[in-house]
Amino acid sequence: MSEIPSEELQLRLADFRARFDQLKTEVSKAVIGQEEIIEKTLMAIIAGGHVLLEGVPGLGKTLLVRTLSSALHLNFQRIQFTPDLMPADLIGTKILQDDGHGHSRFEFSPGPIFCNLLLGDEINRATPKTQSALLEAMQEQSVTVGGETRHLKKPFFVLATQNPLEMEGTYPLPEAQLDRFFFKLQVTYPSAEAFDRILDVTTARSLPQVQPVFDGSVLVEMGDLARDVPVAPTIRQRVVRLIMATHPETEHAIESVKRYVRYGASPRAGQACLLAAKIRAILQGRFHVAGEDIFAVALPVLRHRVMLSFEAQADGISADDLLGQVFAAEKKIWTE
Amino acid sequence: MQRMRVQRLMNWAGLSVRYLAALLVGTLIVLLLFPQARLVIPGLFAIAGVIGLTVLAVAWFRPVDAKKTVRMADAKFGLPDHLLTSSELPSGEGEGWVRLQHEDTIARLRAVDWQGSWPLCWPRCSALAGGAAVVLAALLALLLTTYAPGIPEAAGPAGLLNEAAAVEELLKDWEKAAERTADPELKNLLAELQPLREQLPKMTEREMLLALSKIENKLEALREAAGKESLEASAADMAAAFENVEGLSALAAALRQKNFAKAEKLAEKEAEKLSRPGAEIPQGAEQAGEHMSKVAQKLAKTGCAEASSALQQASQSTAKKDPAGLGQAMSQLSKSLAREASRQAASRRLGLQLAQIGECKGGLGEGEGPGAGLSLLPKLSEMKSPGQGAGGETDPNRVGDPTRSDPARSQENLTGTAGEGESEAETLSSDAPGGEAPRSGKAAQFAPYEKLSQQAIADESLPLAYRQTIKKYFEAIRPTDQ
Repeated sequence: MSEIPSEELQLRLADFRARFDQLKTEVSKAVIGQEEIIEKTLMAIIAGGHVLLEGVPGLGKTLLVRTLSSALHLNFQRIQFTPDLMPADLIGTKILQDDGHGHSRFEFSPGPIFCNLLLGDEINRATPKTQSALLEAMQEQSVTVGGETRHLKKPFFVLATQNPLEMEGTYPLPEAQLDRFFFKLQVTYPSAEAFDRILDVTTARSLPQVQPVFDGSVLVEMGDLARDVPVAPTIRQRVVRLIMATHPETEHAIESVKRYVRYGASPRAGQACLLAAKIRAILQGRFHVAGEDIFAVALPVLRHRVMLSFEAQADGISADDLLGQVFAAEKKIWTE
Repeated sequence: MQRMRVQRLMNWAGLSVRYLAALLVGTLIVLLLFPQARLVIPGLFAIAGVIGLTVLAVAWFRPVDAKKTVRMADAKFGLPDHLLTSSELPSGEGEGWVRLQHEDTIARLRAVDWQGSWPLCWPRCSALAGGAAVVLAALLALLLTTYAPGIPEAAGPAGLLNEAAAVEELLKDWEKAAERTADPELKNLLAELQPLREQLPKMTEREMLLALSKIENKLEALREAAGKESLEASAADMAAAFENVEGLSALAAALRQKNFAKAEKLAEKEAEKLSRPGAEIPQGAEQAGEHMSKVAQKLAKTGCAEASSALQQASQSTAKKDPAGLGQAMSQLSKSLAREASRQAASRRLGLQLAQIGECKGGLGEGEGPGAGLSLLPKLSEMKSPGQGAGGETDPNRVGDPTRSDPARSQENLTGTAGEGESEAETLSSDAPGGEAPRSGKAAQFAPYEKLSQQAIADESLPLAYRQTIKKYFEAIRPTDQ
């Protein structure tokens, strides 16, 4: 934890909240009716994580990412995942180049992954082989081609989308890749009021223009500041207990978990939970992480990390339902 | 922490009040069904009170769980883990953050309405339980003070004084008996009881009961000691040994009747006779010598050494045809019989004293003494003149000699008119010695019955209440001239 004088710290925290609000407001100009998605996406980006957006077509998932890249003045690339997409199409490949003097050599041609903000549209359409090409990039922020590791620019975020409806021709993301997404956000249908505003704004001659608010380096600073938020040991233990409660083999797992969960969340989930809670604490005007922060971010952190069994699918139990029961049980214990 | 402590105390007090109300309900029901239970109720509530106070003391002094207090305070004041974090953040690390966090916590605590957010309140239904407990306690107090069926009250101060006076009278009775009989044992006992006599008027009921019990124990010990080395068990064997010896049949008869005083005199008389010059061994003595030896061995086994030695000498003397030796043996035997007679008298006297003490204990609470019917003195008045040896004599034949009707006498019932009006007189046959006129009417019948009742009270283990009843009956039918 850095030793910053409290007066300066207070100013920096106020600045953090102001910038966050500013960014959120700017993005909300173009993306209407998805305030929570916008907020969570921004939290994930500040924490340096990647986001998986799931929702039916036409809800503004791609628009959100594009708008975000505009507001953050980031180098943006979009990849439309298709079944015939190859790993080289993502990360790049070496191609033979003629230097004009009769000599040829292999030169690396970087793929679209070499950007700051990568939009992976309908990521579950690509084959697992291609999906796995993102693994190293998402975790290590580097790619290895032909034995040579090349680092990606910082900051690097992957915002992927997937369509839950079209099962045919889709490949579920492997658990290893799912675990690398900081949040999985369910983009829901807008309310009637929001829909009305969408129609009003997006069918006019001039579309809302999003101005850059700040660049990626500010994001990195905000992320570093968020990491300094103190956490009481009890709160940290609660996070551990919460993550462990998703494992069916632990003694304090509830009956539903023991019955419907195949694999519980990894320690990466705990890291994501705590980082997101720290950011939320700052946004709430506090100087410490509270239990409510944990519960506020736990669902998007855990919903894609808890692997359900066939019995859960057969009984129609979703990860959200199961996690709701886990949170209720943990809240009861925390308040005893 | 203090707030937690106070709230915990109120919670436990509320719970205690509920249990108290339930206890009062149960006690009322028990008291209505079993009135005798009123004696244990104060003790029961004393125990309940001690338990209640202990519970409240534990509730107050038990250490408060700091973590639980902090969690509860955060919840009550609507602070999302502010106090928890403040209590756990390590100092000296991230000073800026920690300081800001603490300042934020303090500011929020100042803004909180403590009483509104965390009011101190009694547990649910405590007020109702408390009100019910007050009403029930009043009912119980009313029942305890006004409803007391069939339980005899303890002796009040007047009763205790009466009882003390009764015991003092009893001890004076023993004093007179000791003077009359010059009984050293009784005198020693009275000397031991002197400190008790001085304390009597100041004693409480419990102390008096304890004192009487001590006297009773002392008398029991004396009676037990008096019963040792008794010849009573061997009297029949001794009688059988002397029966067929000339001049000793009366001695044998006295021994069969266990009239050791009479036997002592007869033995002494025989000893004098055999000591005179020219005396001869009585007829039948030689044949009885072996029997005497056997009885002597039996007496030795029961610890009656003196009597055993006398009979052994008698047996040897008859075998040697030594009248003087036989005379000495009879003299030794008479001393042994004299001792037995005094031992018997002491045992009877102690029995009567025990009966008197039993009566005193039974009468405790009513302020009554044992009554003159059980006095030592009437017994002593029946004694013959003091003999040798210790102890006063009493008529060993407590029942009296078997009633014998002289064939020369007859019972006559006379009716007739004397003066004006009818009168009725009844003459009962009597073989009282010395021409003593029989006491008339009820008095003549009362005396033997009184003897029987005294014997029954002294000799048989009757419950104290029965003794009181028997005593009262005989007091009620006692002739007015006595």
